[in-house]
Formats: sequence, C-alpha cells, structure tokens
Amino acid sequence: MIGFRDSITLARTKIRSKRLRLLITTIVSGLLFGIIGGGVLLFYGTSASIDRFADQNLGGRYLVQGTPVIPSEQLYPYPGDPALVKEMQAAHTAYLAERKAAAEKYGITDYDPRTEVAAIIDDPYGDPSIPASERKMVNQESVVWKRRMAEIVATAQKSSKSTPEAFDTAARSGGATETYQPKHLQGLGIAYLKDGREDLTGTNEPTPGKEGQAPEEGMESSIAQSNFTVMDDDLVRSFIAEPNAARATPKGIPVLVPVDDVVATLGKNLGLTKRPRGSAAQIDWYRTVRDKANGATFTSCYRNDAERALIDEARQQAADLAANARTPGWEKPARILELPTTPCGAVTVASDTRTEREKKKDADREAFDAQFTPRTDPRAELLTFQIVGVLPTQQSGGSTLDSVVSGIVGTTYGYGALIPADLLAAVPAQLRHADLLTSPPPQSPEQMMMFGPYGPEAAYIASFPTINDAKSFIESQACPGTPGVFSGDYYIECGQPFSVGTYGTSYLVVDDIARQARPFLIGLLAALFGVATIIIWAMMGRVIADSRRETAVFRAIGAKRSDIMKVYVLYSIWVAVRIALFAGLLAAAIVVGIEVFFTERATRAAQLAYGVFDGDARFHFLGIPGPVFWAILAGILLMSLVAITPPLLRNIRRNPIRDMRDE
Amino acid sequence: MTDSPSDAGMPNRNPVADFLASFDGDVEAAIAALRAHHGGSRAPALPALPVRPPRPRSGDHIITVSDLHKTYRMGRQKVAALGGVSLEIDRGEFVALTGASGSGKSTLLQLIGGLDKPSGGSVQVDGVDIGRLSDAKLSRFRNQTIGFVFQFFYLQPFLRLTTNTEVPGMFARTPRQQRRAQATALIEEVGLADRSKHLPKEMSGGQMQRAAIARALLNRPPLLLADEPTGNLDSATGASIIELFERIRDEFGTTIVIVTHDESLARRADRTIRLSDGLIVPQGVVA
Ligand SMILES: Nc1ncnc2c1ncn2[C@@H]1O[C@H](COP(=O)(O)OP(=O)(O)O)[C@@H](O)[C@H]1O
Ligand SMILES: [Mg+2]
Repeated sequence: MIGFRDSITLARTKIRSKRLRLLITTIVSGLLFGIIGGGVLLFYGTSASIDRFADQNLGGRYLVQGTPVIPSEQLYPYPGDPALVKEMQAAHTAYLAERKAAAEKYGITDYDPRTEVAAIIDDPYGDPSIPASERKMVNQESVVWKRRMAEIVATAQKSSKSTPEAFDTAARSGGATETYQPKHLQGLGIAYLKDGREDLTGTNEPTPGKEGQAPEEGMESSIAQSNFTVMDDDLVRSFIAEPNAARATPKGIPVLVPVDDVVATLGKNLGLTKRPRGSAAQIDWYRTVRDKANGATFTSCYRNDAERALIDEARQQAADLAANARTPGWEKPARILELPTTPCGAVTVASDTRTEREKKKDADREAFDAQFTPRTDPRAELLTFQIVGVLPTQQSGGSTLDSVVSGIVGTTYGYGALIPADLLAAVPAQLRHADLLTSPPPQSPEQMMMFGPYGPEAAYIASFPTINDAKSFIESQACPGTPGVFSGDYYIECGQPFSVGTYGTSYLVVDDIARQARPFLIGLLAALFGVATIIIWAMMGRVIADSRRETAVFRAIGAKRSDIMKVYVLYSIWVAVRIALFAGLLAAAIVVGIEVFFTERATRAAQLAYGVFDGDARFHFLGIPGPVFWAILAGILLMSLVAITPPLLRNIRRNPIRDMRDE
Repeated sequence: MTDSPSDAGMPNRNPVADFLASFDGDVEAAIAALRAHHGGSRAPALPALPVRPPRPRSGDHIITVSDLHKTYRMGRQKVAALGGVSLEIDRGEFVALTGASGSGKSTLLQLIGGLDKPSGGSVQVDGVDIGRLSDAKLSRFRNQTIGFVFQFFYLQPFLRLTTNTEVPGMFARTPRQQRRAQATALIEEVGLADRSKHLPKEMSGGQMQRAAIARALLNRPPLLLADEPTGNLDSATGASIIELFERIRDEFGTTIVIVTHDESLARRADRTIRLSDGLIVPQGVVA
C-alpha cells in the first residue's frame, strides 16, 4: 500500500483544488458546529458556576422541599349532590332542635329559629332537567355544613400519607441528613403598626388600596402582611447578619426580612433608598440595607377574635353615638366600650349602667353562644420584632443579563419574613410571645389546602449532603412523566404524598432547564448538526465525484483500491480536522468573548440572586469541555468519513477506462 | 502551442541511462536477492520474481493476444468493439496501432494494459494471462509492467514535475530517495531538467506529454502503451515525442505500442497494425 507520507502528498493536492468550495464549506459547517460547541461550552461553564454559587450559599447542603399533596376533590364534596342535600337537611333539623332546647335552657325568650342561616338554598347551577323548584344545594355558610367540613378535615388528616414523619422517613432513606418543618404564621391576627402607631378609627387591617389604585407604599411587604415563618437557623444561617445586634441586645422577635420589604416598610425611618439599577449598585445597596437594618425593630399588634369583636363593637358604638347624639329619644347603650388609646391596648369599659337583670340576660346569651362556639377571653398583645438579617429577593428590572441570571438561578425562600427558631429561643420569654407564634391545626379544607393537613407547615424541608442525593430523592418522589418538579395536579393523580422540588437556591435549575428544554435543544442541535452534516456530505460527495478521472488515472498507473481509499480517507480527515479546528476555535472565541464581557456582571447578578456577597465565587461562562464537546468534534470527523464512503466505494469499483473516456 | 527548441534537440550522451539500465527497478526482487546472497534470514526466502532480460531479443513475444473479443453493453444495445483479434508483439518492438475512429484501437490498448477485462479470448503479457489476475495483482501489473501515456497527459495539477513523475513509485512503495533519483534522471532524459519545479499548468503541451512519459517510465516497465500521445500536439512536437519513444526503445529496450491515426508518425514504427471495425486488417490489403 502507498506510504503514509505519499498519501498525504496526494491528499494535499486535493485540498488545493476547489479551494473556494472547501473554504465555504469549512466556514459554514464550522460556524454551525461552532455554535453547537459554543453552546455546549457555555452550558458546562454556566452549570459549574451555578453549582459554585449554590455551594457557597448552602454550604454544601442541598435542600429539598416537600409540599403535602392533598386530594382536593376529597375535601370538597359537591354541594348540589341530592343525597348530601337530604342529609344536611336532616342535620339542620336536628341542629335547630338543639338550638331550641339550649334557648329554653338558658331562658332566651326571643330566640327565633328563622334567624338561623338556612342549610339548603336554591342551586342556580342545578341540573336543568329537573324542575327549578327542586334544584337545591347545601348552603356553605350554614353551621351544619361547617360541621361536616370539620369532620371531613379530621378524616383527611387521619388518612393522609403526607405526614411530617412520612417525609422524614422517605428523605432519610434517600440519604437526607436532616429534615425540618418550618411553621408558617400567616393569618394569626397580627397587624403591623406603621411607625408604631395604631389607627383604630378607620380599619384595623392594612389598607389594600382603593380600586384601580396602587396599594399604599409598603403595604404588600411581608412585614405589613405579617407573613412570618418560623424556620430552623440551619436553613437561613447565611442571611443572619454578623456581628448580630440582636444577639447582643435582644429587643424582640428576631426576624429575617426580604430586602425589598425592609426598604418598603422601614426605608424612611432607616434612611434607606430604593433598589438602584445596575448590579454593582445593588450589591452595595444590599450591604447597606443589611447593615442599617441590623437590629432595627418594628411593632405589630396581636388581637384574638374576642378582642377584635370588642374593637368592632366599640367602633360601632362610637359611630352610633356620634350619629345619634342629637336624636331625640335615642337611648344610649347601657354598656359603653372605649377604644384603646395606646398602641395595641385593650378595649375598656367606659361605663356600664346595666341592671342586674340585664347583666343576667347578657350572661345567659353568652352561655347560650358558648355552647355552640367555644369561648375565649379577649387578648391583645404588642409584639416587637427585631431584624437580624435581610433575605435576597428577586427583582425584575435591571439589565437583561441581570434578570436572565437571576431568573435562571433564582432563590426561592418564598415564605415572607423568616423567624430563626434558635435565635427566637434565645430571646427573653417576655419578648418572645412563644404561645402566639404557633398556628392551630387546620379547621377547614381551605386551611388544609394552604397549610397542609397537620398544622402550619406548608412544606417540609430535607437537607441532603450531595446534589445527586437531592436530585435522586426528587426524582424518586416525582410522578412518572411529570414535566416539571412543581406540578401539584400530577401528584394528586399519581398518588405521591409530596410534591417535591428544590428549596432555597435552585441548584437543579440547570437540570430543570435541560429537562424542559431538552426536546427543543435536541431538535435545534440535531437541525444544526444535520445542516452542517449535509453541507459536509454534499461537498465531500462532489469532491469524490469530481475525482473520478483522477481515480481512474491513479488506477491506470498502478494504484490499488486500498491506495485510493487511503488517499481520500486522509483527505477527508484533513478536511474534518480543519472544520473541527475552526468550529472549536469559534466555539472557544464565542464563549471567551462572553466570558470577557459578561463575567463581572454575571458574577454580581449571581451574588444578588443567591445573596452571596462575601464569597469569592465567580460566575464563569467558559467551562472545561466535557464529553459532549469532544463528541461533537469526533462527530465532525466521523461525519466526513461517512460522507466519503459511498461515493468513494462507487468510484473505486468503477471501471477506470470508463472514467478516462468522458472528456 | 510551440515547444522550445530544446524539446527537439536531445543530448546524445546520457549517464543516467546507464544507471537506470543497471538498476532493475524491482526493489523487492533486489531485497530478496540480497537476503538470499547473505543467507541471513531463517525465514523462507521470498519467491524470486522473474528477472526481466535486460535486452530485447527478436522473436521473443512480450505480448500474445489470441482471438480477443470485447463487447460493450449500452443498455440493451451491444457494441462489439473487438471481434476476434490475434497478434503478437516482440520484446523491444515499436508498434503503431492505426485505424479509423471507433475501430477499436483504444479498446485493444486498454485490454493489453489490463485496464479492462476481455469478453473473450486472452491477453498474455510476459507469459501471464492478465485476464485471470486479481484486482490487486492487476494493479501491480499495471504499476510494474505497463507504462501508460494518455492523449490528455493526465498529470496531477497541483504536483510539481518531479513529484508528478514520482507518483507510480509512490504506489510501488519505492524508497523516497531512490524514487527521487529515478524521477530526476528521467526528467533529464526527456529534456525537462530545467522544469523540475514546475506545475503542469506552467508547461506546454509537449512538455506535459514528456512529463507524462517520464512518469510512465518511472518503474521501468518493459511495456509502454500510448493512446494517441500526439493527438493533442502540433505535428512538430508530435514528431519530437515519437523521437523520444524511439530513443527510449533504443536505450531501455522498452516495448512500445502507440495508437495514432497520423500515418506519417505511424510509419516511423517498426510495424503498423491496422484495425477496422474491431478486426485486424491483413497486411497488404488496402482498406
Ligand atoms: N465504455 C464503452 N462503452 C460503450 N461503448 C464503447 C466504450 N468504449 C468504446 N466503445 C465503443 O467501442 C468501439 C471502439 O471504440 P474505441 O476502442 O475507443 O475506438 P478507437 O479508439 O479506435 O476510436 C466504438 O464503437 C466505441 O463507441
Ligand atoms: Mg481511441
């Protein structure tokens, strides 16, 4: 067979023929392959960077959140179901008898069963095939319905597989080192006292803003909404400011507040400016907020239902007094309540001119009510919160790159303000209000849906030592064929007890994106690869076809088939190497370009997104090429070898003289 | 195009010819001979290849063609290009094949050169029936025994003259230095010493044909086949090419068969074989 050097000599002469065609082919297919390769390099670099930041943020722990899955259809029976209507009708009759007996027992003479909320009402959406007068449904405001709901909740709690224990067991068998149950405290009757003052003349609740108007400044913040979650310090340690002012002199309930919420609610008092544009400025801003807010306090008022009922009554009385002051013959109420004058003070009795009979009548009424709704004493308590750190928040706006990076890597603490449990335990008891910072178990299906079946834990969290443990746990808990990790409906259908996903930083974001974008990306890459391949094939095919005479001449002067093969295989390797080289350089150039221009900004954006401001992690786009990158280069080589094979085989099988004749 | 005068005027004394004459060109045979001579190898000695006699002897048939038929298929149609040709050519003979266009000259030459398989009959070269050779053996036969010269030269457009001349040596795996020496000598022999670094496109038609002849001779084949080598040249240049053939035959003893329809050139051959409709026209018969 022809020697290696000689076959190179002959192959090189081919390179020199049809130079323009070869150049165009090299550039176009190199461009396509370069884009693919660049994308792959970018993918490697970005994933590694995200891992680095996630690691800095989480300290090598990977958190998985499991939200209990509650089969909602089981919780919401159809109120128009005829059997249910019949059943509720009977229950209502029994309830009325109960009420009547109690009224007699407590001497309520003016009890009128017609004032009771009806249990059955007309069903406007009822079956049109039956007479309108017979289309009935259960009234969801009725007492019997509420009782039924409580039964349903109790049954669901008993049968639910989504217990914290079940989560703990599953997570630990998946390699988790720890599980947590953050306590969500929304809807406890805590009202934020803006500037420490309470305004009871209007409404006790924060103004949600008039129709069509933006809500009052700061009213959507987690502070104003009293959206608190008690959480293990472990989960939020990186956000606790150090040195921490609250640890030295605790002044109240320690709380980590989303940075934008701090500024929105307390910004004026603390002398903080709004989030600036530009990531560098935002990092400085974040640090400033963190430092200035460290140790700052704000107050909220806790009032239980009984106390709030008194507030409402006092307010109503005040309004009546003002409206009827000059009405002749208007009789003042015997007992006059007075609204509190200090922030979160208690309602007081200003005057009570009731006779003994009247007092007894009121007491009977209370006893009658207490038989049906358990009685609690009114309670009001001023709560002081002390900021111990700020949480990073995602903010749209800023540059495109910033939003892209923060959109990709986003952190999901998603529970408003966080109360670190250990710090809370260290606070003196009188500041801690521990008995208030718990939510009762869910009483209604709505509460159950919102907070989970057992209590205020909206979700359970497990900590895994490696990203792979976390990932395989998520996969083991997911439903087969679910497109994303947060797809509650799928979970109900497939019967898994928890809807699982990453918690804290989205360290699996690359996986997620890859999973979701895979069909598209594979399609795109296949298309690019296909086009590049077709170009190479066409070019190689033409070159070989154009070489028929040359092949014939070589054969005539004594070349064996294998000699011809060797020359053309070397030729196509040489072409492929040039394309691969060009593609590789182009890919590197693209990514190095991105690296040079965007690393600074991406690093800042990632610092903001992850809330990692003091680490030395940097966001690099240029990754160390992994197997896919080399596979692409190898693919180019393979493609061009495959491309020459059929025309080349055809060529060397041909009768040489035939090809010499065609002039 | 016109060739430079040096094309026609050839140096009379040729030291290179002596070197070439003494070297057999067959490296394997030489190595085998050396091995046998030194007796150093315990492995069975390589089979000795037939050593080509250095000088032509008259009456010694290098080519024996017997009842050669060739039929081409063009779809359903069959074209009988050769209808039973028999001939013998002596070693060292210079034969011209003539005949009208389409009479089968090229077909006959190609069958002799092993570029195609006969439909019937046989071609024996040096006593070997080349119709029975495998593709690899046939390739080696073309490489070692035959030198082809084409009407359109068919040089490698991007190789310089020396390298172009070396190509048959590449397929023969002749050591580089030896190949280079042979090529240089042959280039001088055909009068192109001052063109050795030129690309084909930088040469005239006559020069290109000389280059092609040098290439055909590289492996010192005993048989040179040329299909209308002057067909693309003016008559003066064509005549100088014929002179070159004559000299090659005289100096190397190479058997030469050329196809031409230029009667005046054909007359310079030792013998003219005339073809008509795929058959040899008997001598003395006027077509
Ligand atoms: N490859 C081929 N396919 C079909 N017919 C061919 C082929 N080669 C030659 N022929 C036919 O065979 C005949 C002899 O051709 P050729 O040997 O080229 O004649 P010449 O060289 O004398 O002009 C012609 O009729 C020609 O058309
Ligand atoms: Mg012809």
